[in-house]
Amino acid sequence: MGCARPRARVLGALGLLALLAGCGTSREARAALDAGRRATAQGALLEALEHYRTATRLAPDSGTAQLALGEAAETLGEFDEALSAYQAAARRTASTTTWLRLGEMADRMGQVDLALQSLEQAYGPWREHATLGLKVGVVMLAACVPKHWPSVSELWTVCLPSSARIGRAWFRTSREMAPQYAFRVMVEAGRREQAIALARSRGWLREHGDYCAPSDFPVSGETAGLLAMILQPDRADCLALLGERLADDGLARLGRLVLLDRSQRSGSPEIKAQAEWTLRYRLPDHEVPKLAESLNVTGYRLQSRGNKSAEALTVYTKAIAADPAFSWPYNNMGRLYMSQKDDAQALIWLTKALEVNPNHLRAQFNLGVASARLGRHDEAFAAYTRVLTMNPTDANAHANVGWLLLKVGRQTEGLRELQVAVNLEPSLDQERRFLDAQFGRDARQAPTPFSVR
Amino acid sequence: MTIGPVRDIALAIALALCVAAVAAAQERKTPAGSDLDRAQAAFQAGRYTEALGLARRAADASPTSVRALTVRAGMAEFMGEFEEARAVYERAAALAPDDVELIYRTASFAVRVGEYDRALAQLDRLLALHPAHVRWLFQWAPTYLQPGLLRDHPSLEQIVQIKLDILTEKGDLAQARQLARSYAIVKSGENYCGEAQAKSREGAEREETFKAFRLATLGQPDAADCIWWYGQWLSDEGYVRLGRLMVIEGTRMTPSAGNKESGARYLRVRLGGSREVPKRAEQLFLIARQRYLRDGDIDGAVRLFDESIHLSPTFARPYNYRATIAADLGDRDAALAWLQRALQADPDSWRTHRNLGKLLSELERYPEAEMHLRRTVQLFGDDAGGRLALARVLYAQGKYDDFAKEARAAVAFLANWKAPVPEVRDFLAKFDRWGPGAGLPPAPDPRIIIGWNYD
Repeated sequence: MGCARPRARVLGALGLLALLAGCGTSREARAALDAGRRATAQGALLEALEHYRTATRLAPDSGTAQLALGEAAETLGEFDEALSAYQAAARRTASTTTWLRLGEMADRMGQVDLALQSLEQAYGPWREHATLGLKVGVVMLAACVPKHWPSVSELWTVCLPSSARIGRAWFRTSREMAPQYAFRVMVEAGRREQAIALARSRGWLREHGDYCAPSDFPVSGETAGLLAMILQPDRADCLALLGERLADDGLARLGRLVLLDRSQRSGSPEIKAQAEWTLRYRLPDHEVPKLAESLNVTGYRLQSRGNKSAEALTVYTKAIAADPAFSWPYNNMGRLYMSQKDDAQALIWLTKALEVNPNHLRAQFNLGVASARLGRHDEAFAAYTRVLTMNPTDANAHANVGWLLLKVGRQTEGLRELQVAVNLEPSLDQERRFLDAQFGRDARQAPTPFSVR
Repeated sequence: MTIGPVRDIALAIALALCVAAVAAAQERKTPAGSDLDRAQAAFQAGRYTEALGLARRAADASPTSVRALTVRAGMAEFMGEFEEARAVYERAAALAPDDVELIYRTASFAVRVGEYDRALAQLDRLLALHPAHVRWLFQWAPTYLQPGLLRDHPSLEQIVQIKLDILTEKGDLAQARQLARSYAIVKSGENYCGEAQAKSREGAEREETFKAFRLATLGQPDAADCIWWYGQWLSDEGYVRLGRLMVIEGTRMTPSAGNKESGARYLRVRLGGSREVPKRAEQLFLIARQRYLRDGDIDGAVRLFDESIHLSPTFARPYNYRATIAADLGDRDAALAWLQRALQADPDSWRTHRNLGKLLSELERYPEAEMHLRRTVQLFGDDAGGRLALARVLYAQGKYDDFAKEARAAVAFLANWKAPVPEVRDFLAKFDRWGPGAGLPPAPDPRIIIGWNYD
C-alpha cells in the first residue's frame, strides 16, 4: 500500500509528460499549418507544400493538415501525394469536402472506381445544402431590401420571391453537384448503364421533353447534354457546342467523346461537319490518358491564374511524360515562353506541338505569332497560311497576316487582309481604326454617319 | 405583330446588315450550303462582288423567298447598285408588306437616295406595327419616361435616331433638336460641347468623340465651335451634305467675324460653295471610294464615280478620284485631264488644285505645278503639306530663297501641332550649311487638321 502513492505519482508524471509532448507536437504542427496557409495566401505554393508536409509529419492524424497537403500537392501537380493525403484525410475527418476532393483527385488520375466511391460519399446531407440555400437567400434579401425600401409592397412582391427563388436554386445546384460529377465520370469511362441508373435515382430523367432544350431541368447544361447523348441521340445536337466548350476548358477526352458522337450520329450535315472540324483542328488526334489531360489543365491553371511559370513548366513536363503524343502541353509551354517574350524558346515547343499533331490549330497560330515577332516573316506567313487553310474565317489570322504584309511593304495586300479581318470580326478595334484612318470610315453600311453604328 | 420580333430585328439591323452578321468566335468552320449561305460567307470575307453574284443567283432561283430577295437587295445597296436594290426591295415588299425588317430597310434605302419623305412614311409604318400601348407611350408619354421606353424597345430608338438624321439632312435642324429633346436624347443644361471637346482632347475612340459632337449640335444650338468641328469631320468623311449644313450653322452661330469669314471660305474651297450635291450622288461617291480603296474594285468604283459625276457634274471629289485611279493605272495624261475637268466643275476646289499641283510636280512641269500649289496655300494658308510640296517645286526651279521661306514656315507650323518632320529639318540644315544639292527636298504630307485630311 505504502508504495501505491509514489507509483501513482510516477504514472501521473509520465502521463503529464506524454500529454505535454503531445501538446508540443500539436503546437508545432499547427504552426506549420499556419505557415503553410500564409505561404499559400502569398502565392508561395512550393513553400506552402513544404510546410504542409511538415505539419502532416508532425501530426499524421490531423485531417485538416492532410486536406491542406492534398490541396497544395494537387495544385502543383503532385497527384500521387495529393491522393494519399486526401485518403488519409478522409480516413480521419470524413467531411463532404474531403470526399469531394478525393473523388476529384481520383478522377483526374483515371482511378474511376475510387472516384465514384468517394463522390458517393460527397453527396452530402440534405441539411448541408439547405443551409447553403438559406444563407444565399438571406444574402440576396439583404442586398435587395435597401434598393426597394421603403416600398413594402415591393419588398413583398420583389425581394422575398426573388430571394426565395435564388436560395432554392442554390440548394438544388449544391445538392446535385457531386452526383453530376459522378455522372460525368461514368459517362467518360463508358459506364452508361451505371450513369442512367444514377440519373434515374436522382430524378433527372424525363418521360417527355428534350434534354437539349432549355428548361427548368435540375442539372447543368453539360449533364443535360450527356443525357441527350445517351437517351436521345437523334436530338442531341447541343453536344456540338458543348464539345467546343469542353475543349476550351481543357477536357479533351470528354470533348472528343461528345463530338465523335455527333460526327457519327447527328442527323444534321452542318452539325456533323462542325463536329468533324472541331475534332480535327481543336482536339487531340487520339484518346489522351486522363492523367495527361489533368496535368495539362493543372499546368494551365498555374500559368494563367497563378502566374507560376516555373511550376507550370514542371507540370507540363509531367503531362508530356504521361502522353508524349499529346500536343496541348507542348503548345502551352510555347505560350508560356511567348508570355515571357522568349519567342525563340517558344518556337521550339510550338514546333514540337505541331510535330506530334500537325492539325493543332492554336499551335499553328502561335507559331505564326512567335515567328513574326522574331522577324522570321516567311515562316510566319507559312504558319498563318496553314491556319487559314484550316479555318478560312479566322479573323485574327487575317489581321496578323495584314500587319505582316504592311511590315514587309506589301501595302495593298496588307490593307486587303485587314479589311477581311474587320469584316469577319468587327470588334477588331485596332485594325478598324487603322483602316478608317487610311480610307475614312466605311460608309457603305448605312445612309447616314450616325446610323452606321 | 408583337414587340418581341420587332425589337430583335431592330437590334439585328443596328448591328449591321443581315449579310454582315458575324460571331465573335476565333475559330469557325467554313460555311457551306446554299448560294445564299455562300453569298453571306463571301460577304463576310470581304469578297463583295462575288457575294452579290451569288445573292443574285440565289434570289433568281427562289424568286418568292423574301430572305433571298432581302439579302440581294441589301448587298446591291451596299455596293451602290441602287436601281437593282430598289427593284428587288419592291419585289420583296410586294411579297411581305408587313415585314418589319424589310420596312426598316426600305426606309433606310429611301434615305440613301435622298427620298426623305418616303423614308419618314416608312418609319411611320414601322411604328404602326408596334402594340397600341407602346405607340401611345411613344407619342404621348412625358419626356422623362421616354429613355426607359426607348431602352425597352430598341426599334423605337432606331426610329428616333434615323428621324433625327433625316430632319438634319433636310436642313430642319430646329425640328431635329426639338425631336431630340422630346425623346431625351439631349437634355437642357448639359454641356455636351465641353464633354465632346474633353473626349477629343483625351484621345477617346473616334466614333465616341464624333457621337459626342453630334449630341452637342443637337443639344446646344449656340455651341458654334462644336457644330463647326462636327461639320469639318463630316466633310473629311465625305458626308458633304450634312457637313455643309453643319458648317453653315456653325458659321451662322459664331459671334466672331474672323470665324464667319473662315467658315465662308471653308464652304467655298472645301465643300463646293453654292454647288449642292444630291444625296444619291454623295452616297455613290462614298461607296465608290470604299470600293476602290478597300476592295480594290476599280471597275465597280469607276462606274459609280461616273454615275455620281453624271448626277452632280459640279461635285469635284469624284473627278479627283477618277484622276487618282488613272494615275494608279499609270495613265498620267488621263489623270491630268480628270483634274482639269474637276477645276472646270469647281474652280475653287482646294483639293483639286493641290492634287493637280502635285501631279504636275511629279511630271516635272514645275511652273504649272507652282501655280496650282501657290493657289492651294492661298486657299488654305495652314496647309503645311501643300506648302512643303510648293517648297519642293520652288527648289526644283532654283528658287532657293522662296523654297527656304516656304519650307521653314511649314516646319514651324507643324512644330506647333507636335508633328515634327525631321527629314525636312535635316534637309534644311544641310541646305543652310552647304547650299543647294542635287536631290530634291522631301515633301511629307502629315494629316493634322480635321476637315482637311482626306476626301
